[in-house]
Amino acid sequence: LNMSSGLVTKLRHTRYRRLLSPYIDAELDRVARRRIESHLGACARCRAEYEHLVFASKALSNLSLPSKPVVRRPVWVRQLALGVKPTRNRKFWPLLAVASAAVVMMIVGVIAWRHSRWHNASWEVVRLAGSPAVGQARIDRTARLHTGELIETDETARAMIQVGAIGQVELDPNTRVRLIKASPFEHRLSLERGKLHATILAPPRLFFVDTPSAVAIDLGCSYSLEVGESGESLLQVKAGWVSLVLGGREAMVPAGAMCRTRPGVGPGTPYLEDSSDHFQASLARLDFENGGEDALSRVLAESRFRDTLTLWHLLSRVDGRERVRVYDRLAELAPPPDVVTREGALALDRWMLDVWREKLEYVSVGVNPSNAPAAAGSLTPVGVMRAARFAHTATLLADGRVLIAGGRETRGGILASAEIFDPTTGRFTETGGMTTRRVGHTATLLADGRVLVAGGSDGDFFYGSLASAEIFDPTTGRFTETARMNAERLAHRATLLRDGRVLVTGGQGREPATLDTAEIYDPARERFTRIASMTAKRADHTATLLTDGRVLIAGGAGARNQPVMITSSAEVFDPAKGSFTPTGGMSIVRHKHSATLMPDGRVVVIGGSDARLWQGRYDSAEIYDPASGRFKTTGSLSTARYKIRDAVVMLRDGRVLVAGGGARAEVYDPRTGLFSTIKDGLGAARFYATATLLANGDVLIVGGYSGDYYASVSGNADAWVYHPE
Amino acid sequence: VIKVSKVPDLEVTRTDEELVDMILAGQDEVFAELYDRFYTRTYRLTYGMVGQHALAEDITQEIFMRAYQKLGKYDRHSKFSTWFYRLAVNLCLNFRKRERGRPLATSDNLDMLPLWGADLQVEAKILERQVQNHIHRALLSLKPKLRMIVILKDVDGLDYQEIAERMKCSKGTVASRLSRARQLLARKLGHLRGTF
Repeated sequence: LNMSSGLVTKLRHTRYRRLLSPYIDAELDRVARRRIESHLGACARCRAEYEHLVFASKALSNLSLPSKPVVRRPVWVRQLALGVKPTRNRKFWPLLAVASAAVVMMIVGVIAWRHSRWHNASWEVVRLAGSPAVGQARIDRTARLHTGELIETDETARAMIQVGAIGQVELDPNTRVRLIKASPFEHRLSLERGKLHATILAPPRLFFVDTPSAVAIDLGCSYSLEVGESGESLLQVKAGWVSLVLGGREAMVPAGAMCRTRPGVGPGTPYLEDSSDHFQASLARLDFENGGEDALSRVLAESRFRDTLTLWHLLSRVDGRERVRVYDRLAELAPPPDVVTREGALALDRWMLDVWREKLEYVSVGVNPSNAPAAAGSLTPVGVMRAARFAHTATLLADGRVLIAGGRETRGGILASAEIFDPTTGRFTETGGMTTRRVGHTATLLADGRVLVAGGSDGDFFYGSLASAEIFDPTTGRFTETARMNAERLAHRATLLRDGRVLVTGGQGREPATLDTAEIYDPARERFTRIASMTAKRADHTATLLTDGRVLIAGGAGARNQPVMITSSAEVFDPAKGSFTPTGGMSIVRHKHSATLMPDGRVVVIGGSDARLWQGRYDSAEIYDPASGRFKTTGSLSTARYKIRDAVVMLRDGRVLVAGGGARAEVYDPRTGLFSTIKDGLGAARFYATATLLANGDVLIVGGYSGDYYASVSGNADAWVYHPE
Repeated sequence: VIKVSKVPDLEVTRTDEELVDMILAGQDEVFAELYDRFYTRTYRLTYGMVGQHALAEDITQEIFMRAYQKLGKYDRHSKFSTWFYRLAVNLCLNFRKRERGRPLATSDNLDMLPLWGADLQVEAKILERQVQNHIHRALLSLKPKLRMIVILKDVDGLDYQEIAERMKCSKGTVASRLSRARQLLARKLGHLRGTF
């Protein structure tokens, strides 16, 4: 009896609950409404359910979808308005029924209809420099490029084509491009000569560039493509993937890789930008000059783990004994998955090759942590800080202890407090507090063992940027005020120069725009002096002391309010001249990234993001070579990361530890150009954490925030030590 | 010679159905007027469904193109707007079907904003945006049919009858799907309780 009465009650509740939504939406008549109301009055469980639903309904009605997007009539609607009529489908229907021949006619009809609808479509073209021309007409500011029309730049002109709603193409000087098709389903240009840079944000296979020796098919990416005088071309992919196709020959080119094409041959074998010169030269001989034994031996000998995607392409491009050699080398570098047999691979079994490639894509480009080998080393928790913090500073003192200062505790709480980590005891002890609250400040160990703390934000006023600076003296354990900077700065950089002075660059001042000014702190005179300005406004950039004493400044935000402007440019500060000179730019815009000097004098720039911040986080990395003054892409992180400015350090053995912006740390090995993930996790993402190399070669990782919901963001007091062995 | 026939102002006073009649009678240029009338709501619907501007724009274009092609099939049993939105709803759902299996891209706005400095002053605004993002993210995680019902009801404010017409289902189905959707959303948005 009990059971059945329970069932009846349950049924009754179910019936009521089914009516709750209609009740909330006033879809019930008066009688039903009354009954629900009296039931809700008596039944706590149904009332809870009711509140649940009301909450969801309220939350949703709070969602403000874009209510008035700009109505921009597309080309075909504008043509309609002008009285240009495309033929409508329905007019073909009577023909259809006639005979099977009509099917053919219909196909022709549809093609003609689509053609008539799109042949007059056009894209906007913007002049960037000089005087590019559409057809015979010079472009003053903007123009329309119609289907079939040519746009041409001379040696001084540059132009930008707006590719429908999916992206942009920039044309270098001496370039000639024709618009072949402009429909929402196919965006096609023909590059007849010169160089273009495409950035496409769209599903794969919507954007095509024809060249005399291959078709470049966008798979969601950013790339440069150059066509030479005799029709050969060079593709360089910066993000995502591009497929190059001619006849039955295809090359899948990932970010960081390049590929040559030749008329009559089609796409060559893709190779990574950072592969050796011998490797690239031999590959070109194999691809286009019947290279033979010699070239193949060279390629196989020079190939690294990262070059396996290149070898994979080679498999199907050589035959007989050569294919066996390629297979053996490839299998040695990256053993095939179980389902791939030697016989199958050598017989070029499509499915097996694809399975293998999928694995290689990840390893060679370094995307998937599960396939990448785990890095050695262990992470051990070491107690907790006195306060939870993020965007704080952590500075190794001369005596081996670490000074941790300021930062944010929660969304609102900015800290003045400081504490000291002692690696011998593994404990944090409070020390004298700073003279003011600071977050996003800098802390620089001076030659005399004291620490210069400068700028940051105290959260007051508009940006809360501070010009004040203070000095921490480890012998007294106290902070004292020193001279003020010449400008308020937040998210700036401070770099200890070889002569003991400190270079302070950029940052967010009081104005919405960021700063391009720089100044130098002289510890002897305890004064900041303005010096020449940088060539660009920067905040959240990086400044890295090079081995020759100069400082590499890279990326950063020119403006952080709408419109957000992030730069890819870089410049070098020469302390001897006291001025900045531009150097080669990064392959993409970056801010909130990291830059670390490696033992060979090169600088590895890791992660960061574009104007979309969290959504635009990068997993890419690139290397600056001071000798050539250029950036080259290298292996990718397994996780996209940003807000890692102080969370990346060089280990004693020359590898680089990336400890923030993701739940697991990674190690970059400059010898292989690869990132590998450390097995032990950090528990949470830890944005704006710090990593500090200790005297014994271990790394102290502290703080950072996690939580993906702004109101719930709070700093972390956890601390870990990474032991590289 | 291109005939420039600007749509005269008096079109505004015509009903949707009259405009359709004009188009079917050969005045195709009037379609531009229909386009302007229906664009905003259609875009809202597609944006709500996919959470990305470019994609929403593409689907919106496809909807109008189909509507133009199929205009001859409009049977006048219902209001034109009902017919049009039914087509839009259908295309949106079919689009999701086609896309199934591909990972759903996150919404344009799902941003973690910088946490100090510039945003201190605009904290409330940012908070509001983050809340919006969370709601939209939760919405995007629902199955397409549930998502569509929620958009039509809680965002567009249609009643059950109108939703049933647009989605070609019964009012009972609307009620039960809406309940299901709201239960899921309430669970996903639990951390926002007390915010509204």
